[in-house]
Amino acid sequence: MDVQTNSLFQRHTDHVWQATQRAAQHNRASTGESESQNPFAKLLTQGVQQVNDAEVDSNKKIEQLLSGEDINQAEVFTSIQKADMSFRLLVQIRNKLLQAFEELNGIRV
Amino acid sequence: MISSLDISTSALVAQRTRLNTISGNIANMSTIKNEDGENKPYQPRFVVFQTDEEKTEGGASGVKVSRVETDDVEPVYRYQPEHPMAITEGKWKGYVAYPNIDMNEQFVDALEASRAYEANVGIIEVTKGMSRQTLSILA
Repeated sequence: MDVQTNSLFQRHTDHVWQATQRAAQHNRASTGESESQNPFAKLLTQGVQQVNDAEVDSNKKIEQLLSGEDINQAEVFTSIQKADMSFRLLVQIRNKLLQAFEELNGIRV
Repeated sequence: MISSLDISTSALVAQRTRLNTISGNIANMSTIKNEDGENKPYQPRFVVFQTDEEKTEGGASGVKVSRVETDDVEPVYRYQPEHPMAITEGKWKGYVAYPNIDMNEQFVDALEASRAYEANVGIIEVTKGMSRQTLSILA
């Protein structure tokens, strides 16, 4: 289950990343801004990183619980729920982003 | 949203610890020797809760177990002169000292811990529901 979640997560992250890159290129083309100064892409990458951290943390806690370490079930389930919540938010943001990109892409010049 | 999850979880952990001490009290209801093997009856334990500064955000605080206290109550004496642990001299000669644990009190405490646990799980449900509803703005 772990592997599936992670690969799914990776796919989503890749999508978001590609979309961000494309958006960044568009941005650069129009404003002449350099990549490192793009605050939106940075923000998004940070968000993805945080979601990944939550996922890694919950994975660690599940491992501790299953290997019989002294950890409360409530803590484990809460960290899973946190990871789930942030992941759902990420997916929604990605959907919104792609939707906006598709719409922009559909515009005939 | 996430910090309210943390606060509820801290309460769940604290109530679990409380239930642990209650289990210990019930388990040791007839224990007449202490950890060091001395002839001292078990003394009931109870938890002391404290607000948790680490989980404090915007005026709301989590909870943690400050310490587990050991009670100091007079034991219950039972006349058992044939018992190997019977007191050999003094006022209580021929008696055996047993722990003074009120089972009713312990069970009411356990029930309270269980209800508090339930309430905090309920709050987690509410938090989850709010988070889901918030996402529907975006979708």
